[in-house]
Amino acid sequence: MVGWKMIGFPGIRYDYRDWVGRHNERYPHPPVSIAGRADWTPAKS
Amino acid sequence: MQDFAAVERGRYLTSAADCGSCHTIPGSDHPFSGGRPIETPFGVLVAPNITPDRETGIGAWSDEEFDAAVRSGRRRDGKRLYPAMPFPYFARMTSEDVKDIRAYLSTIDPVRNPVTVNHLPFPLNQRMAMAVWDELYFTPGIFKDEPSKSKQWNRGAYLVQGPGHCGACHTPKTFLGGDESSKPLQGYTLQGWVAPDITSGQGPLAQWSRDAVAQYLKTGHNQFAAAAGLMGEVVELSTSRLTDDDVKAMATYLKDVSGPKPTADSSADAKVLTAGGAIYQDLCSACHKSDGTGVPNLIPDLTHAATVNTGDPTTVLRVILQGAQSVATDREPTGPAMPAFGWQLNDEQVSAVASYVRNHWGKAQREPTEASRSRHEVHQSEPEQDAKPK
Amino acid sequence: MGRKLPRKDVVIIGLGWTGSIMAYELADAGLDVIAIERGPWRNTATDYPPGYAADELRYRIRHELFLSPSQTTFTFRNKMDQTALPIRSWGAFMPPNGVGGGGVHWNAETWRFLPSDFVLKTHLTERYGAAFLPEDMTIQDWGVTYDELEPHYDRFEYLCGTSGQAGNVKGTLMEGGNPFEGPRSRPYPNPPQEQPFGHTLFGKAARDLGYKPFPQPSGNMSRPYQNPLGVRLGPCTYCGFCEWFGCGNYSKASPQTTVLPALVRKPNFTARDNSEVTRINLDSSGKRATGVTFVDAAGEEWEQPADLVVLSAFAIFNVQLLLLSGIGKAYDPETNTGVVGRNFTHQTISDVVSFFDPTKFVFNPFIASAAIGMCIDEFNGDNFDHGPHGFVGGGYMGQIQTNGRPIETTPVPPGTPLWGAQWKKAVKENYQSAMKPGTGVHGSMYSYRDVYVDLDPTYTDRFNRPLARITMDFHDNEIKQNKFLTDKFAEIFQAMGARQMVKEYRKAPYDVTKYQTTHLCGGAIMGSDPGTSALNRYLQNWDVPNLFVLGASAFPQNAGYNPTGTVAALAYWAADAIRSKYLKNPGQLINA
Repeated sequence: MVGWKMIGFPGIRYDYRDWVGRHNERYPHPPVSIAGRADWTPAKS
Repeated sequence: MQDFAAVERGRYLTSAADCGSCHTIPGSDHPFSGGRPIETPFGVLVAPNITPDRETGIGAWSDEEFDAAVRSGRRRDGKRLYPAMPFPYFARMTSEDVKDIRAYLSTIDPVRNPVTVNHLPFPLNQRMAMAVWDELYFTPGIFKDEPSKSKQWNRGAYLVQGPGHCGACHTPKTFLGGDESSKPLQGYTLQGWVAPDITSGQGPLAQWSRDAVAQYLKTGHNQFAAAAGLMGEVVELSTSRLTDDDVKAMATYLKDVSGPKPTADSSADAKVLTAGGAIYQDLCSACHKSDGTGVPNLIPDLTHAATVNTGDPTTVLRVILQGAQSVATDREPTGPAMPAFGWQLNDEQVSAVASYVRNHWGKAQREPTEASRSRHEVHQSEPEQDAKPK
Repeated sequence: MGRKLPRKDVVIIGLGWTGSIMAYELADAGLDVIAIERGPWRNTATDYPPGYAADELRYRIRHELFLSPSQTTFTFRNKMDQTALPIRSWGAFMPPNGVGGGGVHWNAETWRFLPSDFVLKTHLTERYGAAFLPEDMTIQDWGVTYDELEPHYDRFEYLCGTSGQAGNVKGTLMEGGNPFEGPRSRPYPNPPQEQPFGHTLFGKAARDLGYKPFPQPSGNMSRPYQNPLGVRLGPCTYCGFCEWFGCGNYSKASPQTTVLPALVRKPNFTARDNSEVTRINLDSSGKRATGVTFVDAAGEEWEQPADLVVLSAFAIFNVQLLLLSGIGKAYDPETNTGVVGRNFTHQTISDVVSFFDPTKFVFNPFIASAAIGMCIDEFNGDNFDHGPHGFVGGGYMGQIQTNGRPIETTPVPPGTPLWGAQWKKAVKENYQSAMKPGTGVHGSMYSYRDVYVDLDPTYTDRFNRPLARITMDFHDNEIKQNKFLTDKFAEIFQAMGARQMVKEYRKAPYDVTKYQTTHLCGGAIMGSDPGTSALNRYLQNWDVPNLFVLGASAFPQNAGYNPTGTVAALAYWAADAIRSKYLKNPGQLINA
């Protein structure tokens, strides 16, 4: 995950339909591993 | 002498009435020989053998005895059938139609297969009790045309209320298992699946066109939804085998059954919805698209699928946890499947993504979307998909 | 001989692309068909769902979807005077396994061969003279023409929902398509896929240099599609986990997403998975197949009798099974006689890795499909005059980069250390701004007398049968071809503004550890002369007329394209011959 963040690889995301036509623009979303990412778990209030 | 026209009509009506769904063990080479356990709210009944075998089937029955069983819920010995046999619906059928079904069943191979039907505990195993039930929930009498409606509407109403017995799953039940007749087709949960509210008016099917409903019945798929689980079986064994005119007639009638707006519950925690949205966009959008609209006839449109837009989250949770195999039909042979995510998401995450899907587009939450209960129930039943990373 | 099963009309060996197509066609003709597949059944949602389809380690590195060399393998050597050794970890090619075969993990690059490719020997001899060809080159005409195959290419493209831009519809050249392609009867069923940034830059540079770039024909869907069998595919989501992987969302054409759903509904079709055919059985005359013998997952041996046998395994397994069953004379390179094993070929591929200014270019290399890309065809086949260059053959080339997966695709400039802080810094700096097309130059490999398959004298498989032995090396013609093409390819990256380029020429000796596509071809080739081909023009075996052999094993030599389009077109062509000719009068279709 650290390596993926470092280079900008988004992991197992499976849908870039909204991004394939956005040329020379850095993909903004954080990487996802098969085990997910922190945002998958609701924040404790 | 066999009347071939009657046999053919009977074959068609046997599909319309979905007799095979209960009376044949799935995958069996011996259709209608019984033995399939039927879950009821009170326990398990086993569907009897209805092949023409004289000892263990119905070969020795007269046409009158057959009619009494189908339309009045009476056994040959006069005792009452349990309403797992949907005789309160079949009562709406004409005697000619029932006779045709009999004619068809007489042509299939007799199979010797003794079946013990009743596995219920006391006092439910006492058929006497059924007298009270019949008094409360059984209204005899064949379907009567509604003169103010079209011929097509009336044909559809006959199929839905009679042989199709849609309400057997889709109409809410009382604690005794009888129909809540004031709420026809407004949804019920059975065997771990939601038979969703299929009303129009303000109900979930409001935005489905008549043709979309007909297409769903005929092919198992349309631009909104895919039939899986119990409904997949209904499509495979029954509605896909009906003529285009008949599924259109059913759709015409169903579109005229109006229902209330599902009560929305906006109480879901914003943090839960944020997490659910993250999971959705990372995992689900690959098929269902980031806006939930899916792919017509392939991937369900979560903004319009009745199972999402109905009060009870059971199906949504079940399908996320366990996956689901949609039905394949001659017109839609693809049969795409939803993979299981129970290995990848914990209960809190399953609940979150289900809440997101149901609140974001469905806006139909009535019961809390809790995965832990569903995971337990899913584990009790047979797995649909066993998709675990090795 | 194992226990005998009830007779079938047809037994199909291997349920990949060609087996599925043939099974559907023959079941559709009303025949009782059984398919026997060595590997497991595979379904989208249970075998490669989106939740873990994107697992580079599992599928790309550990080869989940491929044949395990512990189950069976080949032996390999470069030269006839060497001792071949078994391949214990796949490298140069990836033999498939399981239902769907290579169609599960292919790139879905769906090309047609050039009209001249099918009459190669005649065409090159007429244009350049026989003396222009290397002496030991054994190229042949196919016995079938492009025009004859056109309707069958078309059927496959409409089965798959191929996304592409036609270049030649019935003789009319179409703007934006491949001007060199043979005339097609109608456009592709779907428009081309949308192209990511780097791929469009290649197209622009190629156009500026005077070439006619076009989008690669792709079995990744540019939009939802329902094929003529009623089966539906979804739109490709450019996930970047396509080749080497199964597609998780029904958007890559495969037997699973195009044929099998319709096939399994036919009551006269059955399949046995995890069962390996060990031999095609012949009657006492040796001129008629009686069925096959196979071993199931429990190790039990069975005999499946059938009137018609279709051999549709991966190319080299077709050759091996013919040799093991004693069908056709085994090829002998010393005497240049025999047919089974001859004209074995692969592909001559190379790449140019280029590095661009990271402050100016962000390619997002992970946004891709496996058949995406912009290509040119100016240097393929005989699309250019070979006279001045002293070689024959060619290939397409293009920026067809399929992924930015971090184990495989983190190129660093030459001179970077192989590990440590400097390596990390270089990976970080170049990940978004380097281009690595992969098999960017996709060159032909023509056939030679000393490149062939036979049975290994030493090594055996788990059933104690000899392994197939590959003898293969690159010849000067292919090395020259590759040098010429790779230099041309690099010129385009230069024009795109690359600040550094690495030309990865293909060189001899052939290296069986380096991936070079899975396009093994030949060994049981089609042709007009029973003395130099194992099959007639309908893929019917010359010696055993109730045996048809499908797949790239029928290619007399390989062209400068991915083979699947032609493999499938030939399967439809053979199916058509069986349905329209053979079933009416079972016997040898060609008198030679």
